[in-house]
Amino acid sequence: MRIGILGFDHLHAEIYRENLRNIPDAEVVGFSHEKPEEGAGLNWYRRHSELLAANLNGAIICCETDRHRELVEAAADAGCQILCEKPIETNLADAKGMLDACTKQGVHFMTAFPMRFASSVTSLRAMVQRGDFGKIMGINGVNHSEIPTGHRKWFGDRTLAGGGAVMDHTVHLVDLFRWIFDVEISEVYAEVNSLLVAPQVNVETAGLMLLTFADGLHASIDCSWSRPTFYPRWGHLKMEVVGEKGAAVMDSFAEHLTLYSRGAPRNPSWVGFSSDPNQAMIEEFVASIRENREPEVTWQDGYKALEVALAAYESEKLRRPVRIGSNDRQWS
Amino acid sequence: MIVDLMVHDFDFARWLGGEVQRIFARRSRNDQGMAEYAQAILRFKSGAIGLIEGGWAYPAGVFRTGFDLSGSDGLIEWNSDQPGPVHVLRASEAEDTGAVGLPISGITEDPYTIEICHAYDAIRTENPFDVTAQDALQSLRIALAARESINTNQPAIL
Repeated sequence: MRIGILGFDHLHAEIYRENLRNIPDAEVVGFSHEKPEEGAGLNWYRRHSELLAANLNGAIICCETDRHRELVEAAADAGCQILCEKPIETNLADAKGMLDACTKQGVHFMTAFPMRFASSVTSLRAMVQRGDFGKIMGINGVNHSEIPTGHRKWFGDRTLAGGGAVMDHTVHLVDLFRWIFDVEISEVYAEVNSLLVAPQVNVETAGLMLLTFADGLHASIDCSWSRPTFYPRWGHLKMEVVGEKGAAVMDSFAEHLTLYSRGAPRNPSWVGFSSDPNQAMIEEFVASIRENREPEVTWQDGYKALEVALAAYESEKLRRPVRIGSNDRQWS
Repeated sequence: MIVDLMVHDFDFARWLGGEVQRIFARRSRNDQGMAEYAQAILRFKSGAIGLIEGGWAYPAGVFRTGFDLSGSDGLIEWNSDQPGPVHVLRASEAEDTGAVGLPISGITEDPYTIEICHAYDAIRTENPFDVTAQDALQSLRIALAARESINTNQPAIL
């Protein structure tokens, strides 16, 4: 399987490069990006079209979010199976355009939601689906991180990223809610602010949301960039499920060593030792190409998550809960 | 539950974040109406935001609390799952009764004792109480606004 990485703007591109190297029948053909030095050790292509002409089976889209459609369309035209970074686009119209391009060319589109592949999440999902907690009373989802602009500036640019902390983190938790509880989100209320400000940021840095699911269940989301840059790790992903017959508290990155090392970028650092969900996600992408089938995470999953993130901005503007999928409103 | 239990969290949040401008809340109950769980988002007048969650929904005997306070210059994380200075391991005997479990803490002064001593001293010396009637009134107002928001499915303004 010949895989190319289109754009190296996203933080995860370097991780995917390593993940691909662990898969025996995957070959990383190269990457296309303005800066040759960022791909460290990968073949560099000056233009995306040159990489796409190299007979690829799969393309991983890691450019800025508002350029996803352009590169997805190019990759689809080249007949590549696609793995696209989240959020899949900055608006619904461009997100739909990507699906049209993939349908037309008969290629599959996988959304990069690695947390579905974390063992903490799969075991929590099994408990929920077995009914271990009885009637669910409430859910809390937390995805905190440091502000990512220290690594990649464009995350703080509303045009390029489509938003800040809400755009960055909401989509992960919404996808997990939809997958674990097997239900769509019907209503969103959000409060956001930019009090945790880093220079050169014109996006929100904190957000809190209350969601209602189609079956009436309530869930909160804390999607803030509220960990300081001197925190011992990038952040965390947590979930609490409270049911009539019991509760579960999940902290997906809880297993770690505390490392004190002279000259380390973080001191101390929390070094995780759970299985890497990114590795499992990339293996699924490669397997879906090998077996010529729809991947486990689809365009629909990416679209539904984006819809909720955009509804959060709408709710903040209107200062009231917003219904998802209603026809009287267009967020694009 | 909102006025009995969560009012403590509203008071704590207001003590940390100042006056609250608006609140949006949602609540679930089980079919028998015994278990109750609620979540509320506060918008403070300062522009800060806060999430409060509380419930009478955990299995009997389980009590947990915690907070996560983040600001422009730093962060505090804490929750009651963290082990205390003494960790007791013992063979289980008969089924434990469903009394509310309280964490074993390294703090030698019981907060209830501190509270009673403070009230006694304030009365004795005719000094004001640290927690005022205004504090009680404001936290009750927040709790009642949470209930209003649950009933209207709209944010309630304070």
